[in-house]
Amino acid sequence: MNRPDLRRFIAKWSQATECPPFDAAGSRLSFMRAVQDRSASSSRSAARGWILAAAAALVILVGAGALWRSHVGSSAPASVTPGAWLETKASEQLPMQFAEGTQVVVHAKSRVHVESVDPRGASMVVERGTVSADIVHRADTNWSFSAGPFRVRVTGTRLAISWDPSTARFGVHVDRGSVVVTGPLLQDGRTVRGGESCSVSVRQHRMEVGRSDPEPQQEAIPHLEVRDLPVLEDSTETQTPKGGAVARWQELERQGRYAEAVVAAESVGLEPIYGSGSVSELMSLARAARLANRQAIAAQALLRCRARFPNTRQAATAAFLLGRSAPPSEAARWFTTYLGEQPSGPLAREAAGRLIESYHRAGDSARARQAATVYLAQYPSGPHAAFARSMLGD
Amino acid sequence: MVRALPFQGDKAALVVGVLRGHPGAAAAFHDRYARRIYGLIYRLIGPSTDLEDVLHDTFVRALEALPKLKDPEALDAWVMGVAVRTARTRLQSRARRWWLRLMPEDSLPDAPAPEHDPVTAEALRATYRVLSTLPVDERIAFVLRSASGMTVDEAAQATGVSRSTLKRRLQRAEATFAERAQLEPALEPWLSGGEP
Repeated sequence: MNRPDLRRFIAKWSQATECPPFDAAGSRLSFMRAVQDRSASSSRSAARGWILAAAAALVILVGAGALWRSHVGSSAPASVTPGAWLETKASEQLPMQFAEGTQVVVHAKSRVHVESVDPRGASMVVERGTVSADIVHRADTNWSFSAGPFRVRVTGTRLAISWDPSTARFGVHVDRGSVVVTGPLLQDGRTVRGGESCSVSVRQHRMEVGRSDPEPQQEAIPHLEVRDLPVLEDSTETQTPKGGAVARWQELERQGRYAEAVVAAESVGLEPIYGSGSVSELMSLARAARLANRQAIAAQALLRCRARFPNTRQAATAAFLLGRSAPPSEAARWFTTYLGEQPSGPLAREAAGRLIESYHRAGDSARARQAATVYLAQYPSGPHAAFARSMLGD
Repeated sequence: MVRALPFQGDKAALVVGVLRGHPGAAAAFHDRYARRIYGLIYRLIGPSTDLEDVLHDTFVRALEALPKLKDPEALDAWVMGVAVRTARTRLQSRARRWWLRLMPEDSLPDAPAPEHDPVTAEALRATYRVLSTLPVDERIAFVLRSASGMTVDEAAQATGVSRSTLKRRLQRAEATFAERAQLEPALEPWLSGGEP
């Protein structure tokens, strides 16, 4: 081979190997996880002291009944200055109220990094767990949340964001207003409007967008429109076997043929769905089983949903649904669980009312009166108000 | 499409941001280098199912070594050097597996990516078949200087050797490659100037 031949060969070779396609999103997620792991391990011991101190300061303020009103910006308390980390244990929440009216709650078992704070809002990173926010709309509102590789731009809205780095699952539920979410599988950004939820499993390459029914009396479970995206060969999550049959039971469930849907699900095996189905698959199975009067299957699907997707809105909804079909004393426990996890959730009013009923049916008059007092303070004209007053002897 | 979380700053700020676990910096760091690294390791190793692993390994190695980086302005060359060393490890591992017959010879290299037409795919396979017969360091020198278009100085820096050592390796690699490539009919279109 002479020189010109070699040059010609190199030109062809370079051309053939130019811009090879690769999974940029997966690579990015892996790297970001590695960065977070490294950062967490190196700073954990040093940071633990002041994380707990910040958390304790907030708990004390809220626990004492003082409404913490931080002036967002230069006069913000030290605990929410840029760079602050907030971490909650399994049994605690950190509610924060800002002077411009925005409320943010860091839910249990969550870790949040306050990236920046200015007079128009703040930027927070949900490292894991769930954060809900009720953001007051103003012309110059500047609130944003990041969760893993996802970013949520907010104007004025009420929403909840969750991120589980161990499973690379992201979720956002918008009660009111709208947000734009960017990140893997969302192309140039996805608008999520009031009453809608968007969840993404990066590993499974699956995105789900659905509308939650705000009226629990009519329908408690959001019906999700599932859009399956191609699954990566290197997905580490187990795929539900016999995809055709699975699609069949879900299709039957969507058509309202619940008994047939449960039979179809049983034919492919319930364990794979319990063990590796997505949160929407578990909720769909629970819904079909409940409406087909297959309560044991419904309960199992809901329990698995809570076990596998803790600290999510769906886990709280599962608690509510478990309460609805449980004996009175157990029902009270589930409704209390829901209220603890979603105190401002779409089912909160109904759960609070059913909590009174559950205590009453269980023969626990003292707790029934206590629950009635709380209910009337929050929902004086709610559907359970008359019942609550009767409990109090009014 | 994955959007970068907002990060603004020079290379020094980028390094500090990554070391402090700033998600925006991590995303920016990844997006700045991922495609370049992948392109480089693709040319060094050839079409393979290993490439995304090598890409990940490169980022992990870079993350581990980043605290030792003395001059953030040299970040680009430093990252490419990490990629070359990671690919070198993979190539040596492959060579050992082949030598010990833990992997059949015809599986070197792996099947070309499906987006190529059959003639190009076969030429690529032949190219990496010939490259696999070169000593790893000569192969790397040849790829960096030829297909990747690095200057002698850049290639020397990426491989951590002197300019003269790099040139010696390159000379030997070119001679060997030219001789063995003649024996591959699939490379005829690329050597003779015919199509494709």
